[in-house]
Amino acid sequence: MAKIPRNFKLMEELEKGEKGIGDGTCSYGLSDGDDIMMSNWNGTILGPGHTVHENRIYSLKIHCGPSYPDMPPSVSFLSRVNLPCVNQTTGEVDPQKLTCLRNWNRNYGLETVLTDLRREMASPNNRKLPQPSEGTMFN
Amino acid sequence: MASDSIKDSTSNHDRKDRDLGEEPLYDPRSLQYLEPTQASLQCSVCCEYFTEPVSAPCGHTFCRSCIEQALEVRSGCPLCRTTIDPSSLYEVIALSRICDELLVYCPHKALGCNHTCQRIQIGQHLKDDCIYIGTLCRVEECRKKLLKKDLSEHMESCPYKRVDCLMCNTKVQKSQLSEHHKTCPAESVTCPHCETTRTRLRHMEHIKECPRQIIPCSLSEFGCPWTGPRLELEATHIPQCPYEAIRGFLGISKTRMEALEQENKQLRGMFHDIRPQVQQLRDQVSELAESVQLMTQQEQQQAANGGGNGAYGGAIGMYGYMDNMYPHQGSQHQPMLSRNDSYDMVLAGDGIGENENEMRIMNRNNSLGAESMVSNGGGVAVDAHELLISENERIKSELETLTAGLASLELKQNMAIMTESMRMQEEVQSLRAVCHGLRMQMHYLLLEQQNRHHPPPGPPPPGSPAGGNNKSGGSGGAGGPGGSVPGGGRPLSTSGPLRPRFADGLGRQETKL
Amino acid sequence: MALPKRIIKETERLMADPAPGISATAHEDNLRYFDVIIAGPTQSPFEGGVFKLELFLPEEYPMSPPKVRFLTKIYHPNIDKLGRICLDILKDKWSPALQIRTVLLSVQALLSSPNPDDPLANDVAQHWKENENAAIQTAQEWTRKYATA
Repeated sequence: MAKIPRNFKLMEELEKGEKGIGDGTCSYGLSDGDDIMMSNWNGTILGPGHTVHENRIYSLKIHCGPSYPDMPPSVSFLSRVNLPCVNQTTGEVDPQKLTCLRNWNRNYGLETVLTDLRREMASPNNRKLPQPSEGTMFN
Repeated sequence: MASDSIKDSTSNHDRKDRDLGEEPLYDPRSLQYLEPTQASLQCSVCCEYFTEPVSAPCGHTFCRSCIEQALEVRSGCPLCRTTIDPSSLYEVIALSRICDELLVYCPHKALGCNHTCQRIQIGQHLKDDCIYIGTLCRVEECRKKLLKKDLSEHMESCPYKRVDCLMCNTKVQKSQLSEHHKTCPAESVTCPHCETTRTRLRHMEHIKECPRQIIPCSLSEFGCPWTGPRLELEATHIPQCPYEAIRGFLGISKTRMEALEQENKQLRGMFHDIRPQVQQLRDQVSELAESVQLMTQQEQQQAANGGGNGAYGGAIGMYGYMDNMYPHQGSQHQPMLSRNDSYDMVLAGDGIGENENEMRIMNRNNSLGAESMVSNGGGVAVDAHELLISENERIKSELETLTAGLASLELKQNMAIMTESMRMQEEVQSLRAVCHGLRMQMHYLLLEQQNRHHPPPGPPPPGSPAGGNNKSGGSGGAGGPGGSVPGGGRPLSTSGPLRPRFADGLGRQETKL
Repeated sequence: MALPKRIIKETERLMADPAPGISATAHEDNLRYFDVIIAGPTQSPFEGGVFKLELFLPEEYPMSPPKVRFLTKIYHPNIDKLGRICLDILKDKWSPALQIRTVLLSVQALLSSPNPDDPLANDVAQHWKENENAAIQTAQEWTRKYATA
């Protein structure tokens, strides 16, 4: 199987993101439309229903380094959120605590990360976790 | 790069594997041609010389597989974009022949095959002639991948190849031939004892009766230390063997030993089954001991209380009567009780006896075990037996002391009751005498009064309040027997109902005190 | 799946007989991924510039077109800010008879003749249509600024 290089993979992901992914509960786009290396991305997750996250919109930043997609991207929450995989001071997602980042493979993408985080929010252990007030941000 | 090269090598393997089946022996697109590139004879899709060339109505020619694949994606001609209906493609036979006649290298050129031929013949070459084609060793267990040219050399040395054992004429894997010679039944073997030679098969028979083989005495299992050549056993040793003389006894003791071992095994099983029951019994006994202790304390208290209450019982007239009766009843009853008790004890004793029987069996067993232990060396079960026995002993002695305690308590109680009742009887007697005296005095006084005021007899003014007193006292105090005694007493007195009433009243007053 | 013979052949030919003003080098670790350099064509606003591109041959190549993108910023109505190229043969007009060489020659030709009527970068195309001279000037500035080695 042909091994798709970083930039063409990110370009595919960008075009997919522009069209809209899945049911629209997760979305992402380049944070700088002029960045020819496509390194920095913004993501949003709509909090899953029937959980403490319902109706909340979480924004994230995602950085795809030069080794992407051989290496997973680094992901941080901008909106405050209480999840076991999220560092509560910086908002960084611990790659060891999120399944898709820990078991990363190059067929995964930004969509995988966002949907996995959303699944994490809806998991039985996390759905009722007390959350910081809506709209607060990590510094 | 690395992954690509891995893919390359695996696909090469795949191809080799396929070579063995009915799959095509080579990929026509990867053939190398001797001719310098002639672009006009090449397909513009795969950039190779045409394989099975077909033309479209637009006039452009492609390999059949190339154009069919391309039309799946886009229906236009790859060169002029004219729409092509796949059914309109037609074979270009002349071009096909030209391309088939092009000279090509054998696909295994890199491996060393320098064969060249027309392209159309390359299949035949690969099938029949090329010795650089991959193949597998024909031996089922080997299946080693190698080149055809190396096959015959490999077959010489293939460790899985079957070869004939020259001795027994069976097929043996080459690598195991030397191993086989060690067990081959046809191999000739020299008996190490008598140094005669025969085949291994017959040697196996021979060794059972070789006269020179060193064997132990046939009674070695009973301890005979003798070993020597077989032929000396019967001839010289057996007549002198000290064990031979008691062979019969040894046989009997062996069978008995075996029976005992069997029994021992059974008993151990039983012991395992009994252990929880023993534990349960032990718990029950300790419970009983506690309750007995409690009872003892209560009885002692009662005995103390009974001394105090003696005055109560003894002071009452009809109680006296009853008490007169009770010692007998009690003494009649109590032997019954004690008989029951002793019966219980006998039962318990029976139980103990059974236990003892078991214990004896176990003891025997144990001593047997001890005997067999010398040979068996198994001491754990014996320890367990001893434990169980001592436990049983302990329980038994506990039971005995408890029984003795119970009996002595009973005796003490009986004695206390006896002495108490004796004392009370005496007291009642004296009280009765006093009563009698009083009655006589009263009688005397009444008669005197009657004689003094009213010659005819009539109820005296102090008599009616005494009667009211009496009534309430009679119904409230003594109950059934108390009531029946005055009832029984009435017909006795011809002088009037007063006599018992007074006695009653007195009794009540005494009680109140 | 081994690298198809056609790709090997194309690569060999690109190395041995490069098209003028074009160089394409396969990555050692991915033989379907090429670093491409196209010299700005003479008589164009991009003259003197050295433009870096990347090209990838997907699994379906040659039945699907190669993917090509500019890595050097370029002011061109048919090339967007991320270097994506609006060229028909890279999309619906692809044909398996086309090759890496022909694709790169087409890209080179696109530099010579921008087509503001089929734009990808709308603002640049607008600029080009409204004031071609000013647009060409900007393109030259960008070439000097970003595309000089």
